[in-house]
Amino acid sequence: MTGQNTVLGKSVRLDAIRKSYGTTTVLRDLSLDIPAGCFCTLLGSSGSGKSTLLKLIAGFETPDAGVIRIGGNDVGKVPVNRRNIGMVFQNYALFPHMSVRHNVSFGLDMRRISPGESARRVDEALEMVGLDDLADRRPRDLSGGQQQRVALARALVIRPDILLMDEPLGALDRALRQTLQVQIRVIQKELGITVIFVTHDQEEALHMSDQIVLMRQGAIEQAGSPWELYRQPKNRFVASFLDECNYVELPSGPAGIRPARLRLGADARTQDHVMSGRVERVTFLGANMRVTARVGQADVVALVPTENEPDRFSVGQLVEIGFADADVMPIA
Amino acid sequence: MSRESAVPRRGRLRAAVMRRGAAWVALPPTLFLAALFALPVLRLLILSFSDPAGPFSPYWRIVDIPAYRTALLTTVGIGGLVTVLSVLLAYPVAYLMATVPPRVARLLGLCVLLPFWTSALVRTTAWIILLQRYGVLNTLLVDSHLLRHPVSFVYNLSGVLIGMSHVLMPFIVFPLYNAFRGIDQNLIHAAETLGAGPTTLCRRVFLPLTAPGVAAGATIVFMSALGYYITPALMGGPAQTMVAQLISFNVEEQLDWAMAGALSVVMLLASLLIFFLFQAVFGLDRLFGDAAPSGRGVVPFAVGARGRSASGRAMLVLGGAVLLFLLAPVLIVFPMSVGSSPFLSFPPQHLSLRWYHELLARPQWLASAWNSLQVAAIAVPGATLLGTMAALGVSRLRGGLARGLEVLFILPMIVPPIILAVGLYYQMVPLGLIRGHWGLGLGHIVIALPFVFLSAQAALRGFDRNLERAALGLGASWPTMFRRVMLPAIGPGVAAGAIFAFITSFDDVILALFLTDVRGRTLPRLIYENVSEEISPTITAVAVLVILLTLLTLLLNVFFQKDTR
Ligand SMILES: Nc1ncnc2c1ncn2[C@@H]1O[C@H](COP(=O)(O)OP(=O)(O)OP(=O)(O)O)[C@@H](O)[C@H]1O
Ligand SMILES: [Mg+2]
Repeated sequence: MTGQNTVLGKSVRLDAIRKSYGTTTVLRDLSLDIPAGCFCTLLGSSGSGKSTLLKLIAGFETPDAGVIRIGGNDVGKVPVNRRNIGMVFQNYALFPHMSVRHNVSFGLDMRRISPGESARRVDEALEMVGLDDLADRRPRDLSGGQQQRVALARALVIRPDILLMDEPLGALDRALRQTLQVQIRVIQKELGITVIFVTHDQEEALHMSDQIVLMRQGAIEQAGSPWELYRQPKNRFVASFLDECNYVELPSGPAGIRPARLRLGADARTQDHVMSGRVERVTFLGANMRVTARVGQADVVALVPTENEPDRFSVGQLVEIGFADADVMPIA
Repeated sequence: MSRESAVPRRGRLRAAVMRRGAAWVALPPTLFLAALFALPVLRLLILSFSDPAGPFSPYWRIVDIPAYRTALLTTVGIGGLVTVLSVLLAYPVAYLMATVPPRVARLLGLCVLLPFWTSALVRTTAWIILLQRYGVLNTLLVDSHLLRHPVSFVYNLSGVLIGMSHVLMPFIVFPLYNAFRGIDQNLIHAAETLGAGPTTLCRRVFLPLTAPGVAAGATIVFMSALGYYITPALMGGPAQTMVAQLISFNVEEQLDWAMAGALSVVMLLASLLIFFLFQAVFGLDRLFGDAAPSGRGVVPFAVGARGRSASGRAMLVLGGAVLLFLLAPVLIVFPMSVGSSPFLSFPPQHLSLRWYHELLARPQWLASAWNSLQVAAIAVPGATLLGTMAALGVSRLRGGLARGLEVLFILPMIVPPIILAVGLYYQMVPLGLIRGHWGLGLGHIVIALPFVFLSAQAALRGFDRNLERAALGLGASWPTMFRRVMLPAIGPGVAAGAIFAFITSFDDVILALFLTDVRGRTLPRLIYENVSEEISPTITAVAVLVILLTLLTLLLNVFFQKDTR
């Protein structure tokens, strides 16, 4: 799509949203600000309420309390089909009885766009996702990745105010997932659209997002940029959710330290903090080795480059473990 | 071929038997149907060319004589109207079933099936009581001032349409229900986010996605409607004479067998054409199985958290009304049977068991019920045995032979019963089989066999062939394996088939009209003779007892099926 078609997405603001099904409370007074044009990822384990939140924003469900604003307007009374929202589902949800072209043009038909204009925009959208030569196929004749791209084109072609994606890549294999991650991100940046993206894969969240919202049992544990969540986690839950983390007790208080920031052996001695431990396990991971060592009562995990000495550490060996002040993450 | 090969050949034969296993068991049911189904139907067809005025003269008469031409058009017209009406009525019920919790849906499903399994005569009788000029409906409408003068809803087109849609509707409700259940909730959500409102949703998503199910059901309805005999005969007027009635008229009144044969040929060709079209387009599996599409992550659609839309609520009310329509005739006979007035007035003024006493006082009712049971005692074991053998045999075969036999075993439920009845009559009279119960018993085996076949076939599909191989591998002989491993597994399916065989035999009237004499007449035939003259309140008591028996049998089936899960 060319620059003149660029649509700027709208901001989303959630204010004290509460939702329960029967006696189970799924969302507890959740508030969140998503600026326009932001790629926001909802991250959290299964059952944390990500999909429910998405359904509330889309309008499939109504909150028990709280206000949802899209572009500053309260959408509480706006039905789903008037919210101008794009949505991409994990199982694609393509209309099985329509060709790819008709799937994509469906939303334009609803908006009574003239046939010529509609055809132009459908072609444009299909080209954007790289499927312009499959326009006349039925969804069942496409691979999973192709189906998901059709779903993306169908959601984007209506120029939605916000794009909601619920684990859109969950059913795809790893390589395809990575390709599509990049593709989605490129398109999002180009269009300047606001995306709310649900995943429970922390790597995916780190790769794609401007903002990550980590949820736990219906509440926000921490929200911020990937860097903030990775390097300045508020608590152990956040620290461990995004990556493996060691916890140590320093004079300044409890702290976390990522395995890759630990130095072992001779390198350790020059660091600000040095401990000693006994190697318990060594796992070869390719570029790195994962060394588990016993320090006092606790296990400490370090990732060290393999380099050319695969036998640098052996089980039972005593080893020095060091790290720098700059890599310490104070944790409440 | 040299002599030495005799011994190895026997070995080869044994190997073939082992490999094909029990495929030979399909032979007895095949021979049975050849003798008592294919042969009589064929002879009837050949008879159509035996007219003294020339081989094609009956066919020319069908085209020439206005009465026949009209009857053909009427038949097609009524078939079409019934099909359209059934589709229209089925939509709200199927939608209702798809949007209530599964438990309730199962209950509603039973309500839809109940009229289907209730004796055609009981249903027809009840409808007449409800709809006739001084019947229940008219009383209600006139009393509430909705009508000034009573109107007759029976003995005319409306009667035929009501009676036939009532019983044929389930054929559409169930495929439609499955189609609704197969619609992914996310598809609805996707359409909504793209801007579709309720009307568009209905037109562009629901209708196209349910269309194949509806088309399959509608084909069956149309095909069955073409062969209808009892309902138009009892609930229609002279203007609603259908082809089946003309066949019967030519045999019984005119003794014009060539004409009856010619009409049968026309009807048979039409039915078979539709049947094979159906098979080509939808496949036989669609006939009764539920072809619910299933896929990864499909959440069956349900009413959203925002509640039903206005049109959704309207569908709900309509669905309820259709359910009432389905149950009304079955329910109405209960209060009517305990009234004391001989004029079938509604609501009954005084409660009494007068008609039940009357029933017991007249020996003909008990005698005919006893006849029915004796016929069923021939039909049920026969159909169960042969149907199971047929299913076992077909399950061992592959390719064209398997498909051909499958069609043969299903055909008796496709061919209009009037054709079979007339054909068997022609075949059995010279053999003296019409006296006694054997003639009708054998005829009932023919029409009940498909039910056992289908239900045993479904059970066999669920049977893991590796269990059989394991048992044989452990040293069991084939009969031992069958008795100890296979039979317990497919038993419930066979039992369900036997139950449907019983209901089929117990309810049949068309074959009974031709294949019994006065002494051997069955209960449905006696009811038919009573209803076609004048409806006396005794009939309501008979109807109640028949309905209760049917209900009991169906509950037995539920019980059998539950045992396996
Ligand atoms: N319609 C419903 N009725 C009752 N409970 C529900 C309903 N929908 C969701 N829940 C409950 O709400 C909680 C949150 O569900 P939700 O689908 O939002 O989780 P999620 O974060 O999307 O999980 P996942 O990663 O598995 O998709 C779960 O405990 C779930 O059981
Ligand atoms: Mg979810």
